Order: sequence, then C-alpha cells, then structure tokens
Amino acid sequence: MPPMHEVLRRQLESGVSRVFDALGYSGRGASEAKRDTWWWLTARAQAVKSLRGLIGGWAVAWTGSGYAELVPIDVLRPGPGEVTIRIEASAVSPGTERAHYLRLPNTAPLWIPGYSASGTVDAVGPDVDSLRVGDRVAAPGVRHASVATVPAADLHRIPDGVSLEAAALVQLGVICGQGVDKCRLASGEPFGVVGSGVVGALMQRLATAAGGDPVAVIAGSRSKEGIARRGGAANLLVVGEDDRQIAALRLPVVIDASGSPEAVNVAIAAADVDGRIVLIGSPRGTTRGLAVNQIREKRLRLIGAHVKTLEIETRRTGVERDRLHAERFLEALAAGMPVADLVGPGIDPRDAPAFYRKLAADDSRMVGAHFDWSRLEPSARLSNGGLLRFPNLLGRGVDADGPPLRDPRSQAAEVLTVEDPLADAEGNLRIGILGCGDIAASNAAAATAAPNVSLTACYDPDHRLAADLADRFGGVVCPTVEALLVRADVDAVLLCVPHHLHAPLAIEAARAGKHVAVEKPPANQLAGARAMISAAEEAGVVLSVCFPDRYEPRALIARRLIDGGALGELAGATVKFFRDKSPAYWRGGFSGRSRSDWRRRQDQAGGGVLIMNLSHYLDLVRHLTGMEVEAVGAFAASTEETTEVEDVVSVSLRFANGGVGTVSGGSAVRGAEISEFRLWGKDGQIALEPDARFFTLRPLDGLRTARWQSFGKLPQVSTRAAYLSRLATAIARGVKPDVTGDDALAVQAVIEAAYQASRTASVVRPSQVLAGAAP
Amino acid sequence: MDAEWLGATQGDEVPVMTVDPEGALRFGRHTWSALAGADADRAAYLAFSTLARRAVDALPEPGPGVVGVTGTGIVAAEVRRLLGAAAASGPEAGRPEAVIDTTGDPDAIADATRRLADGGVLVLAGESAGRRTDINLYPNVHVRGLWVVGAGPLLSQSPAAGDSNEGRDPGDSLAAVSFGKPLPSAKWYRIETSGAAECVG
Repeated sequence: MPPMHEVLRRQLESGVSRVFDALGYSGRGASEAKRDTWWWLTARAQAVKSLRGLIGGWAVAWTGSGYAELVPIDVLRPGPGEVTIRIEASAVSPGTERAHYLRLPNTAPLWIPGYSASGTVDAVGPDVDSLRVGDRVAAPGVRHASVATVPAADLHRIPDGVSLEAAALVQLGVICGQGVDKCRLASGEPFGVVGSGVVGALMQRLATAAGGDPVAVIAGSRSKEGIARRGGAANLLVVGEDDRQIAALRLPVVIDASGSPEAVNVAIAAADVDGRIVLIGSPRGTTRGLAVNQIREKRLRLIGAHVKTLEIETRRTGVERDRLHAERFLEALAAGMPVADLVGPGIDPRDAPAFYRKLAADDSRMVGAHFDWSRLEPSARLSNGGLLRFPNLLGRGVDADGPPLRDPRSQAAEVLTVEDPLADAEGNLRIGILGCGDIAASNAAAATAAPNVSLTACYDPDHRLAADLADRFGGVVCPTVEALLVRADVDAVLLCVPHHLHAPLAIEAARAGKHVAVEKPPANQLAGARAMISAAEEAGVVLSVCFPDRYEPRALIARRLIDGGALGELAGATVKFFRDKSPAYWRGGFSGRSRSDWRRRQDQAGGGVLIMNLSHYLDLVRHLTGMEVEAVGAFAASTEETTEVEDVVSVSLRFANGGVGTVSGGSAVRGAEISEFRLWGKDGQIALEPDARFFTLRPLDGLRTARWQSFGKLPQVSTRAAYLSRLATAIARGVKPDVTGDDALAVQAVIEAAYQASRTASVVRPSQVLAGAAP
Repeated sequence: MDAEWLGATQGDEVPVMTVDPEGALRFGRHTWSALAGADADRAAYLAFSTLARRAVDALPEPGPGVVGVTGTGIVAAEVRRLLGAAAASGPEAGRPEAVIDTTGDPDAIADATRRLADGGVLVLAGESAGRRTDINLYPNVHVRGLWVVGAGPLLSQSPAAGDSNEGRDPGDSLAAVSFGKPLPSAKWYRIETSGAAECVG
C-alpha cells in the first residue's frame, strides 16, 4: 500500500493529465504544459509560503532527450541571507554537458543544465553584510539562467582584473582543485593528464600551479594540442598512435580527466610503479577489461575524485573545502593563470538549441564555451515575476500540429514584416491580353489593381469573352492576334491561353517587338519553352512567366527567414497537393466562362496535376531556397477514364546540395482538399501550407527559438497585381524581371524530367533533359 | 597454485608458480632466486605470505577498523592471520573501510566496491587469471571516492628477513595434485612434474 501522499500525488497527476487532454494537448505539448504548470505552481507556492515576490527570467532547459531551448522561469526574491544575481556568463563544460544532454551512461536526466556562473548582485536579502548590489560574484552551482537567487555564503567576490567569463569557471575550479589536492604532488613531481578537454586543461594548469611538472597530455587526437602546450605540457601523445611512448612515460602521477571509461587503462599504462592515478573525469560507461593485474603488479593507487567526494571529506573532517577551492581558483586567476582559451566563445542563450546539437555532433574540437546572458534584452533577463502572471499554456508552439506561438516580440521582428511589393512601382506597362478565359479575368483585374500597369487591348477567338473583359477592365477588343500585336499602345502581351499555344504566340509576340508575360508553365513541352525564350532573346524583349505565389506574404516572409539563416544549411522540401477536381474542370472549362476540354488532353496541356498545379511549388522551392534539382525520380498515372493527362503523381527530387525533396499530388482524390508545403534545413523548418509557421533553432530578431512560431497576421495582397507591377517596374528600369525565362525553364526541365522518369522508371537529370531539348 | 587461481570452468587456463630444481621461484615474468635452506613448499609459502603482508601494508594509516577479506586460498588465509580480529568475511563485514581482495575475481572486485564505505580502500592482491574485469567505475570508485590499490606482484622482490615464516608449517593447508583425480579441498596445491611440465587444473 503506497503512502497517502503518494496516492494524492498520483491522483493529482492523473487529474492534471485529464485536464490537459481535454484542452487538446498531446505528446510533448502535454508534458511541457504540465511542466510549466508545475513550475508555475511551485514558484508561487514558495512565494506565498515565504512571503516573497518573484522575479522572472530565462533559463536554458533540456525539455526532452536531445531537445534544448530557452524557457521562462521564476525565482524568489532574496530572503534572509540570500542575494539575487543578474547572471552575465554561465560556463559550459562540453564533455559533461554533452554526456548529460545525450543521456550517456552514468548521467541523470536534467531539466536545466549548468553548474557554474558569474554575474552581478542585483538585490540583497536581510542579514547579508558580505555583499552589496553591484558586486561582481562567482556562483558555483548556478545553472544556465539569466537570474538566480542563492545563499550569499555560496558566492565569491571576483577579484579585480578577473573577467566575469573567467570567473564563471569557478565550479570547474572547485572540481579540479580538489582533484589536484588528491594528487598530492610534490614540488617538481612529474605528472600527466589523460584528456584534453576543459577539465583536463584546467587540471593541468592548476597542478602546475601547485608545483607539478606537466610532462605529457594524452588525448584521443591532436585537435587540442595548442591548449595542452599553452598549459605547459612538454608532449601531447595520442592514444592508438603513441602507445609505446605512453607506456614509457612511467609517471608517478596520472590524472584521468577524459570521461572515457577506457581511458583509465591508458592512465594505468602511463603510470610508474607505486604511481597515483586520480580519476577526475566521470567515466561515461563501463570500463571493458580494467587492467587489474597491472594495478596490482605496479602497486598503483587509483583514486576516485568526483567533486562529491568533498562531501565525504567534510563528513570525516568537519572542514568544508568547497569554499577554499573556489577562493584558491579565483586567486589563481587574479595571479594570472591563463584561462582565456578555456572560456570559449560566448553563446547567445537563444542559440542553445543549435549549440547543443553542434556539441552532440562533435565534441572533439570544443574545449570550452559559455552562455553570454548579456545578449538578451535587459528587461527579459530579469523582470517582475508577478504572482498572478499566468503561464502561457496556449499557443506554446510545442506540438507541430498544435497552435503556433505568437511571440509578443514578433510585432517588432523585422524578419516577419512584409514589404508592399507595389511600393516602389515604376513606369506604365500597357498590356494586351491574348486569351480571355478564366485566368484572363483574374489577370485583367490584377492589371487594373497594379499602379503601373494598364490593360489596353485584348483578343480571344470567342469575341464575346474579349468584349466582356474590355467592358469590365478597359482596353479595346482586337479582331485578331496580329491586330493586337501591331498596336503601338501595347508594350507587352500577357498569354492566357491553353498551354500548347504559349510557345507559338510568345514567339510571334516577341518577333513583333512585344514583351511577353505568360501564364505558367512556359509551354506544354520543354522544347517549346526553349524556343520562346530564344525568340525573346533574339528580339531583345523581356519574357517572364507568371508565378504569382512568389508574392504571397507567407512566401515573402519565408524568403526573409531563409535568407536570415532560420533553416541553416538547407536539407529538403516536401509538397502535397491533392484535390477532387470535378468533371466540369476537365470537360466544361473550369468555371464555365470558356467551354473547353484542353486540360484533359496530353497534346495541349502537356500534363496534368504536375504541370498544372505542382509547377507553382517547384518554382517556389527553387525561388525560396535556391536549391537546384539535380535528379528526378517519379511515377505518374491517369486514373480517370475522361483524362489523358496524369491525375496522380509522386516525384522524388535530389538537390544539388545533397538535399532531398518529395512532391506528390492528385486531382482525382475524392473529397480531398489537402495542401502541405514544407521546407527545412539543419536548423529549422518552415511550413507554408496548410498554415504558415516556422520552427528555428536560431535566434532571429529576438524571437524565441525551438518553438513553432506564427507568421503573425498576414496582409491581403493581390499576388497577380504584384507580379505584373514588379514586371512593369523591371521593364521600366531595364533590369531582369523577378521571374526570368531561365527560372521558368528550370521548372519546366524538372517537370519534363519527372515525366520521362515516370515513363522509363528511371532517374532523370534535368540537365540531360535540357541538353536534349536544345532548339 | 593458490586455490583462488582455479578457473571457474573446466578448460580455463590456470597460472602456476614454479620451483625449479635449483630452488628458484618463477611466476609470470618475475623470479625469486633460490632461497637458502628452504624447500619448495616453504619457498612458495613464503611468496604467498609475503604478498599477504604487502596487501596488509597497503592499507591506509591509521589502520581501518574492520577489513573485509575475500577469498579462501592461501593468500586470503595469510591476510586473515595478519589482520587477526580486524579481518571479516562476507556479510559480517558490513560496510568496511577497507577490503583486501585475494581472488582477482571480477565479480568479487565489483561487489567489494559496492560494499565499501565512502572513501574506502580496496586492495587488489588476487590474480585475475585471465578473467576480464568489466566494471563501471563511476558510481562507486569515482563518485564515492574509493581508492583501488595494488598490493604488488607475487614475486616482486626477495622476501624481507621478517618474512621467513619460520615456525609455521605450510603443510596443513597444502594438497598435492595428481592428474586425473578430483581436487581435494585445500588453500593451495602442489603439482609435481617431471620433464616437460604440462600443468592442467
């Protein structure tokens, strides 16, 4: 029968779980919401119990195995004998923190890592005489947080001339100081250190300061040889390369500071008869084949030297030596012991997610690092906690499918602002529209909305449609294509005709000296696209393809995020587009404005859902990321009896940078209204559809990291008006348009490669397709 | 051969200390030259008891209270004799300040690290006899500040004058081994060979 308090605790947990389930939290989101609630309750219970206020701040938290982020915390205002510190630097011990972060053997789960910091006293509680507000202090045992309230007796005033970053190593100084004590070095006695990380380097320097002679550092590689040499080591020997020299060292003292369970045997090999081996690094696992016979035969002393052994010594002797070692360390720093190379780079705490991933990937080169809390806004580092301030449980941005975070700071984040694409419009582009069906009506409205575009003429074989357009949006109705092309008041033509007519009409318009804007795709076939681009080049006119989705506010923000490094090194893209297109779409002419069935004919449309719909996404992937498709594999099929073109397709892309993409779509999936569009890199992900949001490990414009962030409220933009206006401005300025012929050709080459890949069940390179489609 | 050197299963290799016709002791790469006036049994007994003394000497000063002793061979017997009342075996040792292991057995060594008091000392005086010791040093040795101390090799140097063991009869715990017959119960064993020795446990 469990004790009553345990029963109550379980019932409380169960009740809380039911509440969060009812609120729609699941998975990681539920556990984080519970944690936030628990922290919130705990902090306030402590505040009420102690009749003290709260201070808000931020801390680096490991919210799951391998997940790090910056989370809000509350700490108590200082009570009797306590002070509150505004943390400036908190030291990272890469080996130790990597082991805990990766949950290697002999580690315990941690919420908030860190154990050594420095800062300035912000507030002093009653009965504290030793410290005053503004004093610089070293704080052993303090975690990676912007603020901490601790007993004044645990703090150490930092001597003048010692930097806050160096003083932040104080707990490492305690760890190593007690280890050096256990070495019992005689003056001039040779010693060696196994391990070249921050603990090994600090041990080396403190042992040298204690009178030892640093004969050798033994390491797994030569990557930190400079650190070892600067610490005075005569030799750096590499395990596996210099084993004979290691065995010949015959050292009276060997310090194992590696943390590797196998390193103790290296230390045993390097030790002389009657030697001491001080085990300072925590072995992260089981030592396979401990050389017990060598320990026995050499009469070695293997000495466990975890910092917790100080507690054992205190129990035995009654003397607390932690404080002594901390003071000694700070004195050594004041005396000039160099540690600048061990302090490492200052990390923006918001960069913690990316930092720990980097640390996990390769710790061999990183000696030391520290979180630089001054990178945060002063008001964020230390704020009024507020007893009644509720935890932000809604829209926390944890679950991928849950509501994204609306970070209050996003209002001011430049990266999330949308520039008006019409803002710097120049010129006046007079356009004539060829083809006055469904999409032409949209384009004519867009031309009217664009400040530097006007509709002057239109033509359609069905004169009724042309007349309707002219009546609604202006311009004259031309009886023939030729009649429109000879008009002096037409600078550019906009082709809104079936795909198979793009190339011949574009070529004819270019030869007539008109700039050409054409609905996507450039043509029904790649060869036609190349021919129309060549014709434009020969005529010296601009050819551009209408990919208006580039001007969607979400796309504009995505581009800024990617350019700002939100995704880091780009790695992939995925697109899903599934619809249930009606029979009217294929045979009635979409809306019925223009009765036609060209969309179902392979020779006219050139393809189905891939060329018709997914081409927008292919352009966006390329436009937003800059990733060029190197190889394409695909399967496509026509499942409806009424269509010749594919109505389902699955495409796999390999990008030139090594990334991978998948593009799949269908137009005959019953009941479907599915859109998904994601881009990702090593440091983040952007979801543009179904709803725009992003997740990044990089601190951009002060936004919170490792959370799904909302794009914020997006403005309404006529993307076609933006496209036409930007095209008009480019023509007026004599510069390339946003969407060039080459851009369009690249998209069409991928489409063509996919169709070839599907037909031949092979992988096709767009570059080969382009080479084969030379006009 | 110390009783502790016997392998756990048939077929394990068993180390032996040899006495050549000139009276010299050999064990591994170590040698004691002929001991004047000592027969083979007494010379071997002297080697074992010398190791036992070194193991006891490896204990910290001032001496710990109760010392756990593991093993049932001749070295263990000598360690217990030297420690007298301070020696304890098994559960009665509680959480000793020190343990002298004479077995070299990986399980016994790991168990000793668990049983020792914080900051305690484990003296290794046993021969691992080819057994591999896989041990997690973190929870006990590292965190609890144990010392693991080597007692020295069986034949590291000639015995000191005080280690002559005169007056003590090694024979009461010694058994002679004959090939093909079951091992009798004893603390150590003598294997007599003629010509090329082929010693099998």
